[in-house]
Amino acid sequence: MPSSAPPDIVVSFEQVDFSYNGEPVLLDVNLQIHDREMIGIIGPNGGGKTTLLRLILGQLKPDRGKILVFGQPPDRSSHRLGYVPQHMQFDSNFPVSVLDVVLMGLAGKSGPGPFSGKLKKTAELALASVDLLAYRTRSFAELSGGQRQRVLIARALASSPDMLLFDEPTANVDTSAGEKLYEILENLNRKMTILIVSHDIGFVNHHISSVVCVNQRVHVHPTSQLAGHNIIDLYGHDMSLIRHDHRCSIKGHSTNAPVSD
Amino acid sequence: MLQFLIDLQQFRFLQYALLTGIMASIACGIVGSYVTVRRMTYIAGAIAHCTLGGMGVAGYFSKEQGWTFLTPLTGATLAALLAALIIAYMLNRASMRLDTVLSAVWAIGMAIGIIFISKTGGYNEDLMSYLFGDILMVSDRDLLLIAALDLILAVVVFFLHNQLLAISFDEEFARISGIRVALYNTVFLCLIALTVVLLVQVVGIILVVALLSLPAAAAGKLTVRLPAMMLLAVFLSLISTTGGLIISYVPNLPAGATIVIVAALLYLGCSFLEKFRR
Repeated sequence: MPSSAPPDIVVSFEQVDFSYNGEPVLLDVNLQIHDREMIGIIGPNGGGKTTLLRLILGQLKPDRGKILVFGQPPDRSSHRLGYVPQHMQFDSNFPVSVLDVVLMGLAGKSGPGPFSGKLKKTAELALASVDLLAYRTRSFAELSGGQRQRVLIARALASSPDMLLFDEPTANVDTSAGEKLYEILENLNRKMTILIVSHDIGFVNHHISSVVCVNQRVHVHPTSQLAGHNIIDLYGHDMSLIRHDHRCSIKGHSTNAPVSD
Repeated sequence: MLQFLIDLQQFRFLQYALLTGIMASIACGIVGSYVTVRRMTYIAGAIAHCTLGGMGVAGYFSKEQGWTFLTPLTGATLAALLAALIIAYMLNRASMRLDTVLSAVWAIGMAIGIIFISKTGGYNEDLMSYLFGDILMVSDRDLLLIAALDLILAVVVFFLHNQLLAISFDEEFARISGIRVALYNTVFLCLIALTVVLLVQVVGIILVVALLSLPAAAAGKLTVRLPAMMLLAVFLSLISTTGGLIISYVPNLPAGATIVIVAALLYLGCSFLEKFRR
């Protein structure tokens, strides 16, 4: 694999510590994520996956160490990030249409007053990129789990981010919806970096270029290196590891794992 | 009904009552819809009960000290806004349990009110009208303040609806996408406070929560978008206040309680319609 010039680093952690009420959550985290990688962040519950995501989003401040996102402190680059939360947390009775939800991705940038026609067009484009434009006037509550997930992706895409961050995208989504989701992600990955938090190890599969294992400490593995003994290290006991297939990534077999297109 | 219409042309107090009901309905439908979808009825309840403190203090100083500019309605407005700011501060910053804060605001406000009312002449009469509302006692000055509050609410909601909707639906995402959630939450709580003040005039402190939530909840059963829910809730509130006023007039029933019963019947009706449509 001929490697061209080193790709830009979009996220870097240097010796980062973070604790909640004196309880250490992350210790000495060193991490580099490059432009247009698709990274899986895995680890046990309470291991610090979500904390890592929040540090990148600038919602939390580290106790020690340095975090740069697009070369700047996280709270100054958050406008370049698109965040997709778990879809399960929403009130299923909330009265909004699909387009309303996507427009919320622009509410931080639009001024006071109703949305302009131009912003509505932007939202419709985002909706089209997840194949749901035909659903724009439908009630968000009526959609299936997989469709809601895609609407939330469109909401994150509306503000044209350079990186997407996903929290548990496949939780409570059936297999075919999961496949559809990864098809969309693969398309988006040509334009932007994608970070996916997941405890669904089976799903961190051939789409992902490398895996960040988080359990207080952070280790980076290319997908092909993710074998049984790593999982035992991570979770502390033997778990049955089910791989959906054995296609290993041919790209990036070093710890730094740059992906060249 | 006929007697009401005849008297309506004759008596100013009845015209004021009708106008108060109409203006309160506008605020009630709009803000009530946000409160209902955000499940914040309990916050509205705490602010409502806290207004007793403001009314008690204002009543005491205007009657005993001759500060006539301080009407109970002004006192209620100030107390409600103060309560909203305290709750907003707790909601945004401190790690205190919201439930505890609300109970404290609720009870302390009432306690202050009861102490001041007991030191003011005409104790029983005032307390009853504060608690259960007296829409027939609204003065022309009150009416002006109510109109001003309504106007402020409508303008704020027109300009900030997108942001208010975003923080109502998903506060975390709103914060990440650059919306100043703490600021908008504070504005939102002040909107609740102003609405509560309007509704206290109509149905009294104790029944505010019913009028804030019943028309909005009923409207929510038949609509799929928030603006539509608001419009329908305003309409249902109008029916409740006007209908309640008319029904209560001849048999001399308490207007506030009658209005709430009408709102409850509309809620039942809408629930039935929702079932029927499926």
